[in-house]
Amino acid sequence: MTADDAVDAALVERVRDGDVDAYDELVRRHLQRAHAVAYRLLGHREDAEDLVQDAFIQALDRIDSFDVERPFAPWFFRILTNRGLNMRQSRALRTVSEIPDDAASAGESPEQHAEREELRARLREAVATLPGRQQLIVQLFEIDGWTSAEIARTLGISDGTVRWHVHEARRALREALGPLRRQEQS
Amino acid sequence: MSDERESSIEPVRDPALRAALVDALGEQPAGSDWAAMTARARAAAQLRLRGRARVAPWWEQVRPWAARLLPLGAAAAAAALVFAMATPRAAATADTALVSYSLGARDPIADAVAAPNGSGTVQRIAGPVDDDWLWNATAAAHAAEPR
Repeated sequence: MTADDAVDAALVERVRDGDVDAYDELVRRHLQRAHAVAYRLLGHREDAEDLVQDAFIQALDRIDSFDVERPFAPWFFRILTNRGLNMRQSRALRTVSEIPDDAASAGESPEQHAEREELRARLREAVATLPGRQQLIVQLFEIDGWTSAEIARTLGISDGTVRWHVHEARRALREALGPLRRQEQS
Repeated sequence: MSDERESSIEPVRDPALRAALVDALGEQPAGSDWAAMTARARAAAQLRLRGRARVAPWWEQVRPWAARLLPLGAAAAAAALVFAMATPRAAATADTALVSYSLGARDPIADAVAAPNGSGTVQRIAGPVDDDWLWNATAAAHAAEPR
């Protein structure tokens, strides 16, 4: 266990005794990372905030089943990702307002705009066809710049598994983008 | 797909792919209110945690009160002791005593001394009431007795 894990374990023990301040501290330590993961699962800030709140409460309800000899983060993020993936399947999510809109950029011709729109649509479609956890991993790695080690530690899987997911996802995405990229190059 | 499969090669960053993904899916939104989110989580947890609060054993609950009250108790006991030692003994030095006698019972002399106002009266006798005083009073009564 790392020093961070030991701090988490001590906080969990205090939370079990009903210490609200310890719970606060535990939330603070994992909040931003949890929000980043939740946002990548749901694609909407408010939905992500709701998911994070739900996950923290669910973790609190199950806190007695947590083994303090093991790291807290993977246990918590498993709750968060499972819940997020379920929410994504079962709930009609709100329009993804943070995704860039379809308005043409300045200096962009109608053809270029249409081309860019097609690229976006294909990429979104290709990402959506990836398995849930792979979508999450490739977005955290490619867009948010997390290292494979960070992702591995957070999700409780090995570095190698993370790298394999990134390779697989990239292959699928490049295939989806291939024809468009070739057109651009020609 | 199996999570058991692994790759040992750290992927190199691909700026073109990143740019395309950012364009399609967007960056992480800025300006999240972390303090508000923490407060929301705390509020939601408070009720649950109140129910879980550990009940301390009785000696732990009593300890803070005992710590406060013990010095006061000790001070009060010391003050009482000092007062008791400084105060003269009441029985031997009483200034007055209330005595009730029944005249004609068995000792007419004592009756005369103690209850000159008649049977059943209560008389307040000034001065210390002890054996010497009673002896003197009885002797005076004998002397005054008609022979």
